[in-house]
Amino acid sequence: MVEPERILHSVMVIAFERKGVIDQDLKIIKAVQDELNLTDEDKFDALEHIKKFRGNGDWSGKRDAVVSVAIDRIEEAIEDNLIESSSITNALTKLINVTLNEQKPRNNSTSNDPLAAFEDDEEEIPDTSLKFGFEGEEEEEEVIPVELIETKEDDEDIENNSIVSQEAFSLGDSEVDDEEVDDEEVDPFDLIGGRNNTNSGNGESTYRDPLDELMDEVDDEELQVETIELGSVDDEEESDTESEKETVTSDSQIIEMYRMMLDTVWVDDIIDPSEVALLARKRKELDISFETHMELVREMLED
Amino acid sequence: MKTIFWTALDLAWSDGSMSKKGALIIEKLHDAMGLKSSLREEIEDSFARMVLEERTERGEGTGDVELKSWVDGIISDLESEELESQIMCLGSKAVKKGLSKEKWIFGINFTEEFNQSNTFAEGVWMENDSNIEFEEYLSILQPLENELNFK
Repeated sequence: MVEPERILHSVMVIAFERKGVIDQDLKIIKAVQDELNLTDEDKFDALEHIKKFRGNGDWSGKRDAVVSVAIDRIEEAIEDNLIESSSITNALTKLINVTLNEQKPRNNSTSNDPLAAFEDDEEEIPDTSLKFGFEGEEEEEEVIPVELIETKEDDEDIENNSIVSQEAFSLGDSEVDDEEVDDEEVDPFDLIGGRNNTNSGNGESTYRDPLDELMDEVDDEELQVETIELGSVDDEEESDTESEKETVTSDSQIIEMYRMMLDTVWVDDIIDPSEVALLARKRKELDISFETHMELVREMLED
Repeated sequence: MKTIFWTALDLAWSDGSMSKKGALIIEKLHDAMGLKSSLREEIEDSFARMVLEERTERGEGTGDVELKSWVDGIISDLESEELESQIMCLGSKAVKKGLSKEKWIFGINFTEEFNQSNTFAEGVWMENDSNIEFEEYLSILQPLENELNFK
């Protein structure tokens, strides 16, 4: 079970990353602090820790891993009903959603790509485990016919419903954000109090999550499969080959992602059971052996 | 914090000299622990540098008496069926208290001397979740228990 102090810390992390700057007066922070009966001292400790390690928003190049861990902790807290207020839970879920969407790679070329319409539905609540690979099969199963997507977008009264419009289908852009704001009781962005365009304090970060790059590769391959499905009669063998391609992931990128998580959970020099459990879960999900884990621990301590 | 082999050397050289009997007991302990030669070399080098170089007094190796008694207890612990589960339990308890890098390194180095570092790691990283609790730990594990602040 995640300790309340760590939940508040995690909320602060993603709220600050969402806003792009450290702002201890955000309403969501106060709401979570009150909900968890935490003192100002607890909040101050979390704030100091974040100030110490966040740097200019880059978290020493581990921003995505830090955010992922924070999201996992918040999700675990929600699952364990440590946050009882539904309005706060909704706000946090939205915040997680948007944060995850923002982490997805932006690719301007998709604006002219009709297959951009096959990106994840922004209404879904992404599972953070999807950030760590092996979701190729699931994503393939979730291919949504263009008509369905168009209808859905129409229903939601999106101004531009062209399937070639990035504004209609890209994840994490401002219109989608606004749309999410409208249909929720508590608006995470109101709670945050607006946000800057960048995630770091000094301009746009050039850091890219290796797993995001991995996702790029998977997406590219998915596009090929989808073209086959739409444009011709399925050839089973060919399709199988393409499916196999989809599941091919780069071990080194997965290991790198896991290494970043490991660095992150030990960034405060102390590991606790929830962090250990998180890493154990990720090892299973990513099929990382305990031997590999131990090698990474050794390497981390040698650095 | 002293590890098992370091403590054995300390006892053997307690009066500034090591007897032949003391040396034989050290070899017996080495074998019982399954201590890797390279690791032993490291420990002995450090011991010589940090302890023996500073010493001026020379005795007759009388430490071998206490050494024998202590080593017999250690060897008995090494043969205990509870050794692995106790180490795993200590690893697991350490995490519940919040394990620092420093203590992790100590735990790993301490248990590596008798080839149980992987057991400690499994306890820490929840690879083999053991729910067994122990009232008391084997004396070979007491330095580890003390270092992890369970007492």
